[in-house]
Amino acid sequence: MLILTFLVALILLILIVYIINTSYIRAVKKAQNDSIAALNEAAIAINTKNCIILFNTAAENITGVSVKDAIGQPIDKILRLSVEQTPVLYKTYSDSPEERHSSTLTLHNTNEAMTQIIVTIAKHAIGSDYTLITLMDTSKEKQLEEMKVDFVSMAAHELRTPLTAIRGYTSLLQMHYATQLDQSAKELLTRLIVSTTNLTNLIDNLLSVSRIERNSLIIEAKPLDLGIIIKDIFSSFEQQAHTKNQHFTLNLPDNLPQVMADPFRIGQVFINLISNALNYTPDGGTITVTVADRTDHLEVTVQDTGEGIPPEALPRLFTKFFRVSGSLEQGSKGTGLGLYITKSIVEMHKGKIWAQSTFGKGSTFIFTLPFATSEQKAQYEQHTSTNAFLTVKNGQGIIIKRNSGQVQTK
Amino acid sequence: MRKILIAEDDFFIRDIYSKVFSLSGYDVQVAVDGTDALEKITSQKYDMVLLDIMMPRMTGIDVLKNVRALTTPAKDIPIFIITNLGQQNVIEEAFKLGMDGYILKSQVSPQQIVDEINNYFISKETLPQK
Repeated sequence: MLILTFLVALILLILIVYIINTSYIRAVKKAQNDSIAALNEAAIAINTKNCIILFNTAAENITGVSVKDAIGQPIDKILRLSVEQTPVLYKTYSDSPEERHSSTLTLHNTNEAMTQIIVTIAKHAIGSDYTLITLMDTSKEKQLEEMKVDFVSMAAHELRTPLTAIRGYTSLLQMHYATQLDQSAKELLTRLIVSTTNLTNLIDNLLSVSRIERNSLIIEAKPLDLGIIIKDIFSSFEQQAHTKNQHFTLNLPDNLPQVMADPFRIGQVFINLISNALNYTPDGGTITVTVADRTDHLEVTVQDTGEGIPPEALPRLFTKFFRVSGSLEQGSKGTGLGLYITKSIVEMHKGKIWAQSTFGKGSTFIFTLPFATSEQKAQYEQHTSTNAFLTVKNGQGIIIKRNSGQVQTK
Repeated sequence: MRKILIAEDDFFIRDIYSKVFSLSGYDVQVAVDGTDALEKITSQKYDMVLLDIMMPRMTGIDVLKNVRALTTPAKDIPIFIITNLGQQNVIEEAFKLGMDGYILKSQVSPQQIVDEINNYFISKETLPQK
């Protein structure tokens, strides 16, 4: 009798534990399902027979298949993927020894629209019998990146309008009212102009970066005597070097072959390298600019005896927003955009740019530009004879285009 | 005194250009948008028109197109485009429509624009007339 009572109690106990346990498992499973359903990312779970047992709202959206049509169906019937038009089956893209892996594929939805997605397979993600497949729409990421570039470009353009007014009024004050200002007011005006110039450069740099990123930076290359541009820009910096007692020299051989380049853009490159060299070289230091003929290209070297670049910073020097650590604390100005823009411009000219440095002893920046070929020169001659407007540009960024006198009236 | 029309929708830029041209000895009139500019060009005589491109009601390019299609002497008035649009295709279009000059305003100071316009008049006077 006692044994019987004990057995019944035991059975009851086991039953209670079982009920609690299964309801607990159910609750966990439900929570799991609910969280998968709520994911922004498309998630599909399949069983060992590769049939769909779970299909969230994001998966409905991306595939165009409703959850009630998807459940129970073989994965390959619902999830139609391809690589360059060739269909890829689950067996292929899930084939990996790793528990979790991703591949980039094209998804075809029910309307035959295609989306680039990253498919991630996680085996045994929710119990040993199930595999979780998640789909990430990369076009969204691309869209975000484009939005960011658009925003920067829009902001820079919007900033330009009031800035043009500020620059206009300061230059009016300087040009036409300077005689009415006393010495301290003139000094304040000078500071205003310096700050305005810095802000202008910053905005121009932001615009250049957004143009580079959307591939709309235009290079108007023509056969060019690089020496003339370099000489011009070099002399515009001589005063600045002089005030810091720096030895500033230019080695420029005569009769250098022409290169194909946009004078304004290449001017920007050269201005950037020289102003960096002057800014990062202490008083009394040496900055040497050398132009050399290297059989099929010109090589321009800007060498300084400044503080140099730490070896760990060298590989990242030309990346966007990169600044050598410590330079911010030292109060040096700059946005970390200059060298990124410089490299992009040089590469658009089919040239190369690199830097060498011994930390503490100075840096050397070198860029190359290929010679203009005779075909390029001939092509340019032909182009200009059909295109009759005169372009005046110089290294300071002044752009004025004017019809040459003869063609302007009918 | 040379009479010049400045068509520019931004109040401050218009004010700056008016001042700098007045100070340099020009008789300055202003237009606040494209329609205003076209109206003034057809009703009054100017020696030069400075046109912005992005203006409300009518763009500078359309003003240029309309002026060059006139049958009155105003059709041959010298027109300089002063804009922030630097795209080659815009410049080429304006050129084909018969503009006399193109200045990117973000790249020059107001005084440099005056200098450029002065130079234009000087070179025009020294050129042999057809």
